[in-house]
Amino acid sequence: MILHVDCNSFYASCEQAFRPELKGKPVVVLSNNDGIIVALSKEAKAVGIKRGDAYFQVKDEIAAKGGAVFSSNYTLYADMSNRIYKILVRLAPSVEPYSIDESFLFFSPIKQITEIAFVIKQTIEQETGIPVSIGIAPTKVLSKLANKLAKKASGVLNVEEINLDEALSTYPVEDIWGIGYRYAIFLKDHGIKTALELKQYPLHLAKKNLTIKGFYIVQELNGIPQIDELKPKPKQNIISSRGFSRLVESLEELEEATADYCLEAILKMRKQQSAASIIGVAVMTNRFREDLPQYYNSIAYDLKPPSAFAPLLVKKAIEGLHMIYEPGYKYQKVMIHLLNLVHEDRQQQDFFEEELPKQKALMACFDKINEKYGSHTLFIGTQGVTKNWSMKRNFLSPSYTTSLNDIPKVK
Amino acid sequence: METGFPSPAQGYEEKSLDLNSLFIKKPSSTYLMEMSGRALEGVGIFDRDLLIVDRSLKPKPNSVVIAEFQGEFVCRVFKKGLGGVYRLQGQGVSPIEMDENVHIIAVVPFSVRRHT
Repeated sequence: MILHVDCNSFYASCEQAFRPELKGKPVVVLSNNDGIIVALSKEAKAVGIKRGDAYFQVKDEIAAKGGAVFSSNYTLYADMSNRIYKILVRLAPSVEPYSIDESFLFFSPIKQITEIAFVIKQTIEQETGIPVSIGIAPTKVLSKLANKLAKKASGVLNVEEINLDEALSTYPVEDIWGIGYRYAIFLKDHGIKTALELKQYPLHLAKKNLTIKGFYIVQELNGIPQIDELKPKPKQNIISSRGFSRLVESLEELEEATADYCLEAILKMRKQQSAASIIGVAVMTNRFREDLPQYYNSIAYDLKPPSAFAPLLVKKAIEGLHMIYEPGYKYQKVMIHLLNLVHEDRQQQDFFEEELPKQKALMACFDKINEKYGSHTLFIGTQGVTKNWSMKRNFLSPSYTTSLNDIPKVK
Repeated sequence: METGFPSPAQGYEEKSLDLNSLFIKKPSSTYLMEMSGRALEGVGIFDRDLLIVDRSLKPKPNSVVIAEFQGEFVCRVFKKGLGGVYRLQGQGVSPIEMDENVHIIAVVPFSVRRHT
């Protein structure tokens, strides 16, 4: 059996867990640069606030109801996610994390599976303060679906204990995991509007008329597992780009941002054991500011051999920035592109590259130190220390679990 | 190739004591908090002391606990009073009777004094 564990309103619940006075109050979490709402507590949903609403639209209403607004505190969310993962590993024979707030658990068929799910739910809630719900089913698609139903019930739902077809008959096809907006339209054109209609779609027709993904989903709805572990495929390209909190004019500040984004992209690339064949840099002004002169430019370099060595990549990126920088503009964004990624072993094709083992050892050490003592413990001088340009996070909560200065106080 | 005499201590090595494993039995459910105020001086917890807080432990009578009460975290001693009624006690603060408005969320197995 598969248990799908999903944290309820994860980001908002993390914030509430450390601020008891916010329990039962509307809480929302904003996107990078405090733009729009990306997560909200059930109390915020209940007063009609939606994902994607802008902060200024809702701030008065939230304040009036005694709620709170937060910037995304990824440090806190990642730590809480980690704790939940460790609890799951302790309690389940096999765990497959799916995202920061969702995991699949695999159990052999046992009678007491629903009771076990309740124990898992209670343990996570007790040990982290984060509420979760659990869907139980023989396949991943059904377990995700069961979880959505569980949120409306007691928080745990086993498809084998309900009249599944009845539940599926009112479940819209577009809410099934793996069915996107376009695919839902395609299915509706074939007369399939509910999960039950898709489940009962004859397999031989499914094979003929649907994509392979659709065919798998039909089988999963019928309790036949088809979707294996979802290992993210190594990415071919990595792009690191974020708007600045304010428009930036000086070359020095752009250099800091370039180096910083470059290292962020390199870290992602190194985690998937890749090296880049091309590095690109682009700068742009804010195209919505029609009152200001507009500028966009980009440049890319071939890397032979492909490289994952941060000092080299940052040097190239800064060189590129110098080539495309034009004074007198107000810049809104720098983008770093690491392209045509290859497996890091492919770097060794170049014979004469004696430096490679040293570079590898240095980067491994760099990554380890930053992992252990926090990102930005070691950094490249160009990244700068002040970062006046960095993301706007005016409502950032303390890092309650990862910084000694930020731990909660009790009376 | 082996050289020299074997160490006389061979076979007697044991792992050095490790503070993390001594004081943090379950890392996934352990948090740090800071005491603020004098309510627990009677059990040796002073202002600004660090509290090692384990959310997986169940309170027993006389446990030092963290509870949510009136929208705040409080640190108190869990006491069994007359007639078997449980309450949370501290020095110079009124006792909190256990009811549905009080939630014990964790036990404090250890605290750490700052001498600087």
